[in-house]
Amino acid sequence: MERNEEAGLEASILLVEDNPDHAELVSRCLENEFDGHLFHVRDGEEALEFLRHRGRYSDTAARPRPALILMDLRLPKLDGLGLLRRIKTDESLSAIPVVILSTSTADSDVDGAYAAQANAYLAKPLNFSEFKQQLQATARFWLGCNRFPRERPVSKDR
Amino acid sequence: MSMRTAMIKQPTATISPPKGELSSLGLGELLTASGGHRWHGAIVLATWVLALLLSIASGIWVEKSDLSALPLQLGDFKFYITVYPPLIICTLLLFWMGFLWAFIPAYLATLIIAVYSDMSIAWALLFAFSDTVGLAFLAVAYRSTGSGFNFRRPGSIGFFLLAAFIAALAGATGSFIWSHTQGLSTVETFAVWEGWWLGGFLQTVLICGPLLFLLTPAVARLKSRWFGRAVHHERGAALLSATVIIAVSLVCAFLLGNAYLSRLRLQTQVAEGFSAGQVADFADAALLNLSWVGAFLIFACGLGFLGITMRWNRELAREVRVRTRLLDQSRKRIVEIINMVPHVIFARDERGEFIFANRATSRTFGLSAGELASSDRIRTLEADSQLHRLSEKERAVFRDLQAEGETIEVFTDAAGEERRLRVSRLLLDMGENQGRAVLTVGVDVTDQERVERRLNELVDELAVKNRELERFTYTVSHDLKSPIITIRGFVREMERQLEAGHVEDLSDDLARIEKASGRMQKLLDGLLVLSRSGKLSGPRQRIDMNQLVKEVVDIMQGQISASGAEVKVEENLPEAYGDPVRLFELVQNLLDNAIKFAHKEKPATVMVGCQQLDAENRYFVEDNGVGIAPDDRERVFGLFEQLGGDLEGTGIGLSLARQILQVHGGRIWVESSGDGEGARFVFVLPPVPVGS
Repeated sequence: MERNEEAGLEASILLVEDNPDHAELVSRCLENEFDGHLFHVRDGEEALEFLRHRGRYSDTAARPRPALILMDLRLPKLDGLGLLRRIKTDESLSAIPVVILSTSTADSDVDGAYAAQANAYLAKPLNFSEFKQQLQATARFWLGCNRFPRERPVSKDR
Repeated sequence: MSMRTAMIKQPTATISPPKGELSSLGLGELLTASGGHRWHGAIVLATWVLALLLSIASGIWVEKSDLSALPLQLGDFKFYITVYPPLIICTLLLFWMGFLWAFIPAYLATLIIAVYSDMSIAWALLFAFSDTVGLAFLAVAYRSTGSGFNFRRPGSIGFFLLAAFIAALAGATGSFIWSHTQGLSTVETFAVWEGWWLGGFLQTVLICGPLLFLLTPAVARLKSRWFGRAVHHERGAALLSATVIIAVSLVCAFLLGNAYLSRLRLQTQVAEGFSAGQVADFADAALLNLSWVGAFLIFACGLGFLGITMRWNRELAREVRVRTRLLDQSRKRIVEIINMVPHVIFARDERGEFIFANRATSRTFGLSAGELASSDRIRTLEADSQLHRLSEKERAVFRDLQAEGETIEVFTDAAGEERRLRVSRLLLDMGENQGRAVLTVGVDVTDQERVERRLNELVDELAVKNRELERFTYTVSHDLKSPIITIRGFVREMERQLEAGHVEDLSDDLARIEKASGRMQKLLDGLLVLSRSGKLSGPRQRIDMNQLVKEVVDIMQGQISASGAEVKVEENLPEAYGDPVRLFELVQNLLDNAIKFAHKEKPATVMVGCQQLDAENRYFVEDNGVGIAPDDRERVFGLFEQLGGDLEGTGIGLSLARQILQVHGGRIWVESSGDGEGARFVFVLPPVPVGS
């Protein structure tokens, strides 16, 4: 399968997760899977700051635009759905694929996430091996296999 | 049975027809008498045939033995009398069986006698009607007046005498045919005529009268036993008038005819050369005769009409009595039914006086039931009663002659409570000279409305609870899953590292597992507390809040000191009313929350106090901590909601606080200017009930 040239596996991932243990597990699952950097933020507001290069994330070079966002739904301050809506209604960010990573399997959560333009929804399995496999496959798919439309909006920040 | 057919059955009128002693028997009745009564019909028929034969035989015997116009001398009186047994038999048949049963033997007997005496057939056929005319008059007289043979009453005797007399006169008209066909002289004609009517009259009165008086009741009993019901004949006014006219005509004809015949006889006697003395005697006798007859007529008439009038009066009185009783019963029944109806029903006239009011009315408005029971009208309403005067709506019905549709009206009942009645009204015409009334029917919908309102509230509450429960289940499953993922994840990681021989990194992973399971433990404990706080631990009581807050602060002293926070408590907190155990938990959780969410850069100060506003005590726990953004003021009370991120706690405390207030029927909310501005949690409990 042809590799995506613009966003190769060296591209970075943004993980939005309030539970430090879960963040650690995600980071361990992905550490050998791609060459890019995994950035971790703890809540919705921080994630927006990161994406818009505001506050402590104003250094554009050190904080590149992620090729994939993994996020939990229940987040302090700005919650998952709120963050998702802001990303998807922001022209400069809406093209970044967002994969929801949640313990919830409730229909309302799944429906809500897709209504807010989530690109995929992954329910965290209790079994860690499965968790790992799914995460790795997801990263490989979005960073390696998926083809994006030709006219991607160009970020103003770039 | 459907409702429509289950209507109240009108009692059948129990008025018995005036003794049906004289009812006629139908031939069909005799022939069709069923079962064991079949031979009764045969007996009656046989008896009748026997009577028929006897009539004919006795008629022939009388004719042969020349018993017609027998001269009789009674003192100064000299008169003629004819004995005719068939008339006796037929009179009895008339009264006991009916007109037709009497007509046939009477007609046949007379016809046979006429033919036997060489009368021409044409005259004989006409002549045979003579006795039947008298019988017909008797039948009509008795049927039209409904009289009987109770001779203990003078009126009854008078009527009988009068009827018999007129019937005899009617029957005697045949004598003229007889005299004419036999070619008799005027004197003989007079004798035959007198003999007939007088004979017929005396026979009827002296022989038939006693027999009818004695035997009619027995015959009636036999008839009713053998043939059942007695037919009640309506007395028609037309029939009665006809009877009276016929009777009067006959009497007048008799008087005129008698006078004319007497004069004719006198002239004949003068012409035949009787002496003056003889003629004078004869005239005197005729006058006396006529006077006696006139006196008798007047006497019998008076007695007869008296009898009829009294009899009718009695019947009428009886009928009125019976009808009144029926009406009374039916009225009572209606009153009972109206009283059973649980709705307010009353009617009032234009002056506002009650025409009737049912028990529900007296119960609802506290009118005495005794007044309702004893009389139809309640005149003694107290002046301050709301029913003292006609309401505007009632007046509107009198004015507009119609009522508007159903309305909801508010009344105050006997207990002083407000009752909502769904009222409909109707204008009643009370009949002759009774004016009009307005009927008011009110259905008390107070309780129904209250129940409906309560039901709707409950449905809403239930919906809220349901949503809460849904969210709760969802939250619980979500938040309990989280530590499991952590635990299983790191266990798997440790396995991997052990396989690879890396033992140095294990302690960090172990610490994470330890922490996650600890967190799970806390969540489960919190859930247990939360499930308990959904109901009160015991009865509510008055609580000294100063004491309660002091106890909470004492028990949390360790935590407070460790955090370095300063807790101030206002003096003279007003007392509260509730479950002391739950209120203790409430204050504890609010204090715990205030200490935990202290600002990192400021020394924590917590204030517990109470503010009186809008007549309620607003207890508050105020801190100078991190504060809460306006959008999150509702979210803080959600289960497992932790707005602060990495801070300690399970996110149960404030849910618990809200639940405790919900159970008490109070409210809790948070006031905060925003991030870093501190927060003030305010709660309000329902007031101390009066009398506790």
